[in-house]
Amino acid sequence: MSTRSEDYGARAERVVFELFVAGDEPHSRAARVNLTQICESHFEGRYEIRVVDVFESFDAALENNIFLTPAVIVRLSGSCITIFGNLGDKEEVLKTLALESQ
Amino acid sequence: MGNDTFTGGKSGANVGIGKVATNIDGLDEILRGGVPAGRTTLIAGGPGTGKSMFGLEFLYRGARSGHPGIFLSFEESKESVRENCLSLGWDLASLEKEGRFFLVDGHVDSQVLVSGDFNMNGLLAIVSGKAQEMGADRIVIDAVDMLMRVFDDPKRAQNETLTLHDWLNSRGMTSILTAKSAKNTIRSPFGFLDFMADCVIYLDQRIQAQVNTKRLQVVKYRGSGYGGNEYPFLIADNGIHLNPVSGVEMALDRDHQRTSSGDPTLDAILGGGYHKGTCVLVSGLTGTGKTATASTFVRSACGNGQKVLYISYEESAGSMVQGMLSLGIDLRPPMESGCLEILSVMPESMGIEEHLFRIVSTIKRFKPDHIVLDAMSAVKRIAGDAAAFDFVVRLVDFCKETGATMMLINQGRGFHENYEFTGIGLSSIIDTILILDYKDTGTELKRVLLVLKSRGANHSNKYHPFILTDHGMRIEREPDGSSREESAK
Repeated sequence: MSTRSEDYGARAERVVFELFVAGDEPHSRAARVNLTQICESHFEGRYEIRVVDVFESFDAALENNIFLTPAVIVRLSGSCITIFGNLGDKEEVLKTLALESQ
Repeated sequence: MGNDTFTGGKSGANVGIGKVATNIDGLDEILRGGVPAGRTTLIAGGPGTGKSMFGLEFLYRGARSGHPGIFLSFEESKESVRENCLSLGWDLASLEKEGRFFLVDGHVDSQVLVSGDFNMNGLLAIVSGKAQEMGADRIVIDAVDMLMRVFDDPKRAQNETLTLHDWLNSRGMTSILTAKSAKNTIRSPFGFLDFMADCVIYLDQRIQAQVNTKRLQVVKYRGSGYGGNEYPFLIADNGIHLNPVSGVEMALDRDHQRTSSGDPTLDAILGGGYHKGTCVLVSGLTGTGKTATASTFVRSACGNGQKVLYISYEESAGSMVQGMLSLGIDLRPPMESGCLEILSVMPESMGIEEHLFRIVSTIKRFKPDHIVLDAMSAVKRIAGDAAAFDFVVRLVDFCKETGATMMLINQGRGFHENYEFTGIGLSSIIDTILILDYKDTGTELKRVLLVLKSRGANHSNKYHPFILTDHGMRIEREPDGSSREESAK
C-alpha cells in the first residue's frame, strides 16, 4: 500500500461515515465489516460511523437519494462523497477519498 | 379497494382479474375496465411517445378520486414533471401538499462511485415507507430502463428488476412501469419485461403526410380480453384522449324510426325518409346540390325541434349560411334558436386527432340528433386518403354510439369518384347512399338523384330529376306522369 493515513485529509480532522444499510442482508453486513476495516487501518482514532437502516428510517434515505444499498456518505474536508456498494473494492474507496482530500 | 376497481369485463372470459380504472379518456374501454389491480403494467415506446404522461395521468386521476400514488422519476426532475402536468391543467403541487401524490426524484448521477455489490433495497424501503405513510396503492416507475442501467451486468439488471416486480406484486401495488424502446420492439436487454408484466402496452408515433400521430397498442393482458387494434391518441387540453373504434354495435332502434329528408318526394323514394341514427352518404360532382340536399334536411330537422351539428370543412359558417340563403334556405332561425350549430374548421389547421377530439367534444356537449360532415373529401386534405378513411370510420362509429344520424357529404370529381370512398370498405358502415349527378337531356343539364343503397328499405333505383327551389331541393314529379309508388305521396 502506497497510501498512509496522513494522505486522507488534515491529520486532526474527524471523518464522518454515514452508512446506509438495508437491515441485516448480506451486502449490508459486508459493508459494515469492510467500512470498519478501512477506518481502523486509515482513519484510526478520528472516524465516526453512523449506521442508518433504510427500513427503519426511509426519510433519511429519501433525503439523500439513497436508492441503492448499501451506500456510504463520507463527509471529508467540507466535501461530501456517496459511494454505493458493499465497499468490497477497498482500493477504489481509498483512491476516491485520497483524490477528494487533495 | 375503491369503487373504481371491479372484476371481470365485457368479454366475460376474465373472471377473477381485478381491475383499476385509469380514467384516461378511452383507455379503460380498450383495457375492458382498466389496468390489472395489484399487478404490473408495462408501457413501452420510443422517445416522446407520451409514456410518462400515461403514468402521470393514471396517478393524477387516481389521487383526485381518493387513491394516493407515488411517481418515481428517473428521467426528469421534479420541477419539470410538475411543469409538464401544469401545462395540462393538473396541479400536482396541491395534491402533493395534501399527501395524495408523491414525487421521488430518482435521478442517479451517472458519475456515481461504486465499490462492490449492491441492490435496490433503498428504493424498496423508500417506497414501502412512503406508501404506508400516505396509504398509497399505486406506483409509477418512469423509466425502469434507467433504473436498470445502474447495474453493469444485464443479467443482474434483469434479476433486480424481477425482484422489484415480485416485491411490488406482494405489496398489492398497482404498478405502471415505463420503458424506452426502439421502434416497435423492446428487444434485449429489456425483452424480459414483456414476459414479466401482466399487461403490456406499446406506444408509437409515426408521421404520415406530414402529420405526426401517436398510437397505442395493447399487446398482452394476462387473464383479460382487450381491444387489439392500434388506437391513435392525442395529448391535449386536460390529458390523453383515445377515441377507440369500439365496434359496439348499438342495439339500433330499427323499428322504422324515420326522419324526414325535408322533401316529401325524396322521403317517399327512401321508403319514408332517412333511418334515424344511421349513416347517409351524399356524393356528387361539384355544384350538383350536395350542400343544398343537406341543408334541406337540416332545416326540416331543426324545424321539428331536433338538434343538428354541421361540420363545415369547405367554407366558413357565414359563407355557408349566405350560400344557402341565396337558394332560399334560411339557416339563421335554427342557429338563433340553438338547434343548429356550425363547426367550421380549416382542414389544414390541425392534425386528424385534434379534429376528432374537437368534434367529439362538441358532440358530447351539444348532443345533436343529427350530424352533417361537409365534406368527407376535404378531410383528405388533413392527412391523405388512409388517414381520412380512418377518421371517417371512427367518427361514424362514435355517432352510431350516440344514436345520432350521420350525413356524410363527398365530392367526387367524376362518376367513378362518387363511389370511391365506398370502394375501400366504407360501404359496410354506410346505410344509405345518394348519388347526385348531371344528366344531359340534349336541351339542358338536369340535376338527377339516384338512391344507390338504402339498407332495410325498398327504394327506387331510378334517376330522379330534381331542382333547387326557394324551399330547398325538390324531386320533380315524373315527367311522364307515371304514378310510381315512391313519387305518389
